[in-house]
Amino acid sequence: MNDVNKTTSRHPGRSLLLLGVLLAVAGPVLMIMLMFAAKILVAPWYAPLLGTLGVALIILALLRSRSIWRWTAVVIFTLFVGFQWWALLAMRTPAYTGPVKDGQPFPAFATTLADGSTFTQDELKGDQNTVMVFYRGHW
Amino acid sequence: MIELGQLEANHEEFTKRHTRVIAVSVDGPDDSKKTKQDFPHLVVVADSDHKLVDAVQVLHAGAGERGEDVAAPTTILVDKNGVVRTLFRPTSVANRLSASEVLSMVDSKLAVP
Repeated sequence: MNDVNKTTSRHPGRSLLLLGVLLAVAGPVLMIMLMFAAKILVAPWYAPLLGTLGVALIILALLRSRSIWRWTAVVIFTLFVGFQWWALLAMRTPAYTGPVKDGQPFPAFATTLADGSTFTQDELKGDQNTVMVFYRGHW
Repeated sequence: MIELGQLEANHEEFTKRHTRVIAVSVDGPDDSKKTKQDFPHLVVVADSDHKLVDAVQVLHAGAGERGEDVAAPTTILVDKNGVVRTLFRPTSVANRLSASEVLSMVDSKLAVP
């Protein structure tokens, strides 16, 4: 018991520091798991929120005991979480303002399929419905 | 590409609903051929000259990984008469409809009355 007290007093706020670091990295880890393991594609809004909470805990740990390592952790994880906020905002897409409207014919076009053949709006008519998915392409 | 993989994996469900999935990007012919090989049940459009993305106005200028123009993620349902039934644009490029959500939209928007 005395040893525990000694350790705690020697490293005040250490548990806050560890929890803060854990929260700061939890968001990106969760995002990777959702995206590649569960194949769930949602904006990772939770990542910078968890990260901000983590940085707050790291700052609390710094206030308990100031050391170069804790200052370093505050700087590194603040930058890390700042990047997460920036990335989240950069992922926003503009609202759609184009000519496609429910109940209206699809706009006229003539483009090319992967096999080089021509594809036009006339080929949207026939015996099949169409789900047209615009994607960002090869990354 | 996770999105296209999910749509490909559910191609039989789309076939049951007399629905085809057309994947459109501004990739050139080579990349589009690779996409077609990876997802053989999807119709892949190589819209490198932007004829379709301009007609629909879904170009997201400078939004690519290296600042190039890309198609903004958008899903449009069109019925057998070539009439638009619904359009979905996510608020973030990280958001996508799952295949089951697309199938639900097909069931609700393109069901034969």
